[in-house]
Amino acid sequence: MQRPPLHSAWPSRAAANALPGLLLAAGLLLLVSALLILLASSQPGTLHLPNRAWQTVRMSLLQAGLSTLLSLSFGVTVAWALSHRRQFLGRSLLLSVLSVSLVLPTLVIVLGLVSVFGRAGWLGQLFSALGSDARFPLYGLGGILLAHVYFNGAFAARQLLTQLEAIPAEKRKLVHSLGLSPWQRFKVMEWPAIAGSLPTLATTVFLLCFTSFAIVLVLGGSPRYNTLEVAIYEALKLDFAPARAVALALLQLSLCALLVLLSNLLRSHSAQISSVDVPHWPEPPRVTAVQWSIVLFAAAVTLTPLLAITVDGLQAELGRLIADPPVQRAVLTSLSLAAVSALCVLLCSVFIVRTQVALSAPRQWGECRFAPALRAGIGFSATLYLAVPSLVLGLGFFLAARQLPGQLSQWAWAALLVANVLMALPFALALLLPPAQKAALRYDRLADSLDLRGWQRWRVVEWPLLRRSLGQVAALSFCLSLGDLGVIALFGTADLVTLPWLLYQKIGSYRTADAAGLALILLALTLIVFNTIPRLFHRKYP
Amino acid sequence: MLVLEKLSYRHPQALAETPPWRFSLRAEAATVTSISGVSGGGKSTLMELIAGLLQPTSGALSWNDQDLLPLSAGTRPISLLFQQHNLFEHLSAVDNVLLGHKGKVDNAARQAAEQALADMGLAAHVQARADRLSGGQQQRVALARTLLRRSKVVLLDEPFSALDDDTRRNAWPLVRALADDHGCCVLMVTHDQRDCDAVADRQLLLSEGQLAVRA
Amino acid sequence: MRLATPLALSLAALLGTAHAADKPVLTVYTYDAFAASWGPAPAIEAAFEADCNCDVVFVAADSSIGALRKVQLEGDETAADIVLGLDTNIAEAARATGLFAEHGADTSALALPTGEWTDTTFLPFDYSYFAFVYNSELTPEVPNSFEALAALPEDFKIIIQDPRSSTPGLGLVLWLQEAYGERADGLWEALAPHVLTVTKGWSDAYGLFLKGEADMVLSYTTSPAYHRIAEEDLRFQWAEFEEGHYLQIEVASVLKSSKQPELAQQFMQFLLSDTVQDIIPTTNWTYPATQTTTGLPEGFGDATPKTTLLMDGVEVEKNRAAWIETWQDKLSQ
Repeated sequence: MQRPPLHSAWPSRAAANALPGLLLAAGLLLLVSALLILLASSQPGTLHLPNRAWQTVRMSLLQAGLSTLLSLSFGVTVAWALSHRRQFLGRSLLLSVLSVSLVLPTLVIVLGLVSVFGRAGWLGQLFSALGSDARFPLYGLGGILLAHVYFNGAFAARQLLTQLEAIPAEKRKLVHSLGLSPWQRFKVMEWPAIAGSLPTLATTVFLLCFTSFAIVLVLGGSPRYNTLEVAIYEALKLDFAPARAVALALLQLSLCALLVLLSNLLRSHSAQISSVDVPHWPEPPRVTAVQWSIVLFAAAVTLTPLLAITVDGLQAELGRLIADPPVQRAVLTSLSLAAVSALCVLLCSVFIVRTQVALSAPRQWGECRFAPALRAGIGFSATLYLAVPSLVLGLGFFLAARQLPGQLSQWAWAALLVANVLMALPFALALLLPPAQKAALRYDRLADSLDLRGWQRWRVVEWPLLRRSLGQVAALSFCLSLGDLGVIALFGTADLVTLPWLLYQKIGSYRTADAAGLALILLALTLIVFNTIPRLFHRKYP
Repeated sequence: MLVLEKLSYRHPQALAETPPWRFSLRAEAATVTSISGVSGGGKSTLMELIAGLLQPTSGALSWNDQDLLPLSAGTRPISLLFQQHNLFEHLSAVDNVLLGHKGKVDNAARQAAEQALADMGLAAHVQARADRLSGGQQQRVALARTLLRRSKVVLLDEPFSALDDDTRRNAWPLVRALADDHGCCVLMVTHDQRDCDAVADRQLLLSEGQLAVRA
Repeated sequence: MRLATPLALSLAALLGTAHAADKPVLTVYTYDAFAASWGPAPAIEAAFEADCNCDVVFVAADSSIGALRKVQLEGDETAADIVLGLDTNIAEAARATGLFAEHGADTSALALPTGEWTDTTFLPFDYSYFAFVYNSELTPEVPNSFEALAALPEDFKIIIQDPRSSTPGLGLVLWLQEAYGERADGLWEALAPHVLTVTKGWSDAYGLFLKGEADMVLSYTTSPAYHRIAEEDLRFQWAEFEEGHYLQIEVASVLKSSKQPELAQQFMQFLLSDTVQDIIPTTNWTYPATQTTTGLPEGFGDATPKTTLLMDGVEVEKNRAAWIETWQDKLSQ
């Protein structure tokens, strides 16, 4: 390997690639730390943990561990089946629904799950009709696991399917011409293709389950499975002991940090770009039957709660709701907030990914001594934002806003945007980093030799390769922010009512039918957005 | 003898007015036939039709009078090798070769696999992970797998184009040996005249789906 | 370009809305359902503005405790003149902050089940009782006490709220404590098998109940009135318990830091006027704090609990943490 001659402009160019994202990542990290410190020092009190904290941690570890295991098993199985059942009516609907579950408001989904699995739910009625009084154990560990698998397993399936579809066509041809059995095929081709992304996925799912709040209460049956988030809420709201809340938040953060660190060690570099066409051949009938059953099961589990939400929603006076000015305002607020937030997430993630790539690419900073540490640091902090309690973040922001000039309502927007960016960033980086690294490995030399730089290089090299992933990032961050209740309630500004908040307000004052209608509107918006935005990023053939 | 009779295929994205490709070809056992031609002339399509990865619209395909068309790709007595991606990177060389073995992997199979690797000059790399091997070594592991499969027809799709000149020259005798020592009927797609001259008994030119003996 | 319109909209929102500067602004922090477009706030605001020559602004927090915490975090610079919606269980914690001033209102019109009102800091404006609500069509037979509930077969299920995150949840802990004292711990243990689940807030619990998940849900004696009046649905009832029912009195208070204490006190007195008291029942779904000339609308029913339970706020403040701790232990077993 001969070293390419170093261009005289090289250091400044590589710095230009790395610096903006580095500053951005450092800024976000500083901001979060500053908010924590501000909150901890706002009222007298020392950082100490309540007695129960460790017991809470133990149960949460168990609950989150099981949830992660089940979510990933569901994800792997469903992704496998879907990767082989490539053509059927409603496949694309199923795929978008798989991605959508993560971004809908928790209570909406929970009520949907209750409609299906609850005491008076569809499944129960089916059992009764069959003469059985068996019921799904919805309250207790079973319910928590069901809901967590619903939210995260579907997401995992969608992500893993992308990995499976990225297997090179030659590999598939080879496996087919060798006549390997489905099990052998899974072992030698499919498992290796997804194994690399499992640690990251597992970390994300674990973090989400470990910090789960409303689900562990509403479906937990008893306070046994409470998470630290509940204790943080108690400390902040009921007892108003911000220092204790920050101590709990720090405990949560350090446990999660440990986990992220472990998973970073396990992570292998799987950098794949989806292949355009996925060749496939007829499967043995028995295998096909298994695949169909898995697809049907997945469709039943994921679609029925949404169907229940739809059925409930259709009973509301949708016409009146849509004509209602507060609803229109809330929809508009939510949509504009989500659009701005998606834009921010896109910009942030593109810059940070550029930095990550610059820090790993051999032709940029990859051979610097401090590059791996920086790279790990950025990835590490980005994932950790999932473990920052939104209540802590919101209150910290609130305090910060008091110190700053301007109206509180303006800062409320800023706080919401930052909260949304922090929430979406881990997902965005996970989606963008692999193809970006691949692009750098493949085209850096060519681009350098053609002296492509800056905007032109982005347009010619990165954009065509990343546009699909960017479309997914945009859709995901848009919907995450659309469905987020988040820190908004803390600010309590009358002109900042989002659709999810309006929905909660309606349930909070007996207006269940209206709430069901709003849930349907939210569901429909999310599905439409999820299907439209990626299309805006696709190449249009003449 | 491998026989193709008007084996027809129409590319799904082909323009409506283009006629489908019709391949006719005869190739004896223990010979090497090279096939060259311009890109997009149907070389890879021909390989995949024979291997069973593509289904022809009409025509006949047989090996020693056995009709191959009803057989699925995995059960045809055929091995196909690509330019790259012939191995599973995370498996060792010997495990990659053993994928060519039908049935239970016992000691005998393992020995046969190691022997096949040794035949390909890879005795020292039996346990090496595939992604630790050089490009030329990887191709030789894939050839060793065709030996273990005892495939009577070996299809090579640009097997050397990712290799440097020295490695390429070292691989030629191995292809020859497939025909001479193991009696295989080898079809080799290549765009490099040196490959054809070095190993082929017969050189064919493929253009627009038509095969012709090279003058 | 597709993003241009929402971007412009959000920029417009960012610039905020300017209030007319010439009129004094009275800012009231309250909980979201009170400030909602269907809550009492819009009508109260219009009525007060009619002759105060001022601008009333209701600011909604996610809960009344949220409103209090917001004021605490804002300290002396808070924009709030009044905090409205705290209940007597949390009022003591609010008093301890030292942020609140005298309400200065004439309380003679008050007609609370507890009799005379002596607190000069917190002014009651409505009240309701905690009670278990049931659907008489699905659950024809209901228990008449906690002990009767505990003695029922285990498949009789109730949904309650977490005392750490919800006012009714805390109210239930205090209810049992006030009714049973020392015996409350044992009773919680006996009730635990009947608890289908514990939710974060009232909304989640009531949502599950309306889906038919449980026989009874912890709510208010005034909840059935909503179904009767707003939905003309007569199926919902509250179960009267012999021990009595714990009272939730909602109070309002003026902040010491208020820049217009007179206007604020004027508003406090206005809260007890017939105008406001007649707005409250069918918007906030609670009982008015005074006896108005119009009286309670039909549909609220005549029956109120025979026995009223209410614990002294100081006592609550002193023991709350320990009681919640025990509650957690008993329910987690």
